[in-house]
Amino acid sequence: MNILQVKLQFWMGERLGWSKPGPLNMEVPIEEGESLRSLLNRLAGQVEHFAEAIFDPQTQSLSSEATIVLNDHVRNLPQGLETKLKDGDRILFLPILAGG
Amino acid sequence: MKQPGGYMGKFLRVDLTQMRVNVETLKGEVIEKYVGGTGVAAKYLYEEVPPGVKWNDPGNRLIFFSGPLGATRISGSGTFSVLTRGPMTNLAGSSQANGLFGAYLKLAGFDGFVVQGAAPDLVYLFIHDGKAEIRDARHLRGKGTFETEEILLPELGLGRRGSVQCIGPAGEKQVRFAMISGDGGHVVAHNGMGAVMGAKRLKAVVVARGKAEIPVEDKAAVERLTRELHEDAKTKGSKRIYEFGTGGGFSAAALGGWLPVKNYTTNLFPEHEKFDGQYLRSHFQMKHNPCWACQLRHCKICTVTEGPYTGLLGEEPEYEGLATFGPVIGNTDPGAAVMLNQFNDQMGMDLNEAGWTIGWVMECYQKGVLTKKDLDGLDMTWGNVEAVKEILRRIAHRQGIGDLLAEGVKRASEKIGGEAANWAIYTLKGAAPRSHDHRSRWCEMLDTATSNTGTIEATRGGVFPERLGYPPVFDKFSPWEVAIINAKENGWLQFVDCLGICAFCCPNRQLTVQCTNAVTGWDLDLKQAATIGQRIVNLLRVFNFRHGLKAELERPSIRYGSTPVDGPVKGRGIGPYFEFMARSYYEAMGWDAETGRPHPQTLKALGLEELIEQF
Repeated sequence: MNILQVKLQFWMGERLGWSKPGPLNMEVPIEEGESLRSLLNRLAGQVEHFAEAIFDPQTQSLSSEATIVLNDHVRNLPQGLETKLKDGDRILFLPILAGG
Repeated sequence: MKQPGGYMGKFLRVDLTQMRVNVETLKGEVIEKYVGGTGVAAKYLYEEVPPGVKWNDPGNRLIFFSGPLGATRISGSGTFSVLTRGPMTNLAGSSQANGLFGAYLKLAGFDGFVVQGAAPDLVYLFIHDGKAEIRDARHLRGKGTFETEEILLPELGLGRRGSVQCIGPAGEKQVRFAMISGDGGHVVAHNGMGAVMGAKRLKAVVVARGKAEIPVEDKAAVERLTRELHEDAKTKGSKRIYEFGTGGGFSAAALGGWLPVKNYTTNLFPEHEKFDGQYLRSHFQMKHNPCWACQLRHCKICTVTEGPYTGLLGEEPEYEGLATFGPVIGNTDPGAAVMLNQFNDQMGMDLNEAGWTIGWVMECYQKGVLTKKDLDGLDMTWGNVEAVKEILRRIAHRQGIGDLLAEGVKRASEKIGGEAANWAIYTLKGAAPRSHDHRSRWCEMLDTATSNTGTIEATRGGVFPERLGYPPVFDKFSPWEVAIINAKENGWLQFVDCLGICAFCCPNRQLTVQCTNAVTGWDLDLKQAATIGQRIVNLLRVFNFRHGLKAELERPSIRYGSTPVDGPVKGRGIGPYFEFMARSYYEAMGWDAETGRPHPQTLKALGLEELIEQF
């Protein structure tokens, strides 16, 4: 049986306790036809600080301080949360930074 | 009325025409209504610069103020605000800088100073020990900003006990986007502050750190809250900045579509990782260059360790310096960005405006609209950093093509005309935006266009309504959300700019207000703090209407508001919605939807009823 996987890249890894240079990379399995929303809910339960920094499962909302890019395109939310994921999809989590 | 904690209660009136400095009282009712920093400066700007006074008239004011948190031991409390009628927009300009200057000013005994008139020849102002003198600065004529600091501090026997804010050749030549720089690269950049200073023939202001005691209402609470505010900034709100500087957001900008590349002709910049703060801090040699009491310590001096500029010592560029002298001009070498950032600051120019101007020139060159002959023989191919350095020098000295470009990208492109005029990036008010691609940051494009300061007013890269207790942003590209949330947010940042503290050091709003109360003895809550900020927004807006603001100027240029052709937000156009967003924003701010003019009831609710009949 094929295991479906998506690649996650956190460019705000320090908010999850990641202290090494470069983004935090992960590969996680997904169910056939799983939505982005479903994945985010799972991550909120599995990855430390994810709910606080990125996606709050209680309110089902993304933090104003984060942007999600799926396969090189910024997702419109909330309708973008219903996007069905496919094997090999790449999801970036980006911080909003002020410049300076 | 007992004076609140945090204030010296005095400011300087510097009359350069009369060559005289007087001390004036900062009255309690002014403090109570406008707090300090941007607020107090805005009040004096409004009252003392009537319609008809141009930016380079002696009657214009250049107003510097710290705030109640200035020179306390709260992290980053060396910040100060400068306000004037600015040359880029011919409307209010408000800009802030960090470093030591704001703190040293308080320790010298003053909350601020107001500069008026124009000196007969080049002078500098020396503030020390509760007094100030106007001194001859002719020996500094033509010197760069860093050079000026390096001359004045030993000349006055000050070393690190002194802080200088000065102009470079660009300010002396009244380049429209000249800036003021000090403390090794902390800049008051937007809306041509340096040009106003140059028009007054004021080369520099030097402050000697004094020993004045900063009165604080509740010392124990301030000590506790200082720790809590810093811990929050370091671990949450400004964590990335603490670890990687503002350049720590560079790759995120590239991947999210808000990195500006080659004058908005593309959104693709595969070399982004080499410009990111994580890369720079692990490859270049870094040394701390902290601001007053700052524990975030994100400001650094760096030595380039790779590429043609190996060995160069310069400021670690902020994100905007990396973006401007990297992808905006098509440069892929971060060492070259350090070189150009340093050179531009030495010349004394707002790098945002400089970058958009040069990026536009490069596109014109690429498309054959401007040739080497038009450009004094310079080959302005994308990425030619030595040509960029030379054109920066010419702009700063108003030499050759530099004289036209010194007017900024809007005016220069209008002069060239034709199709090329449509390629320039600016708001119709006259100023260019910060070095982001705002076509993927709609909140910031709306803010830049409608701001009353010549730069952002309500947003800082994004909006964070959760910090005010509101729901988060659900869709950063919803015209409804962008307009309403911008309006809801507007006020907070203007309040922070009253305090004399760096905004990076106080992302936690509750703790910031508690700090303010602990220093002053006030009992503000978050809503009251935001109301003070809204008062300042509306004061500046009325000033701007008196000085010629019209709603139709609060729109992006054709290229600024265009639709990205590639990258993460390809095809997502703000154009069809901008008018709706502006009108909705005006309404939510309590302004007329058509004209953007504040309603009388809005002004009355903010304690500004005296302005109702004045515009």
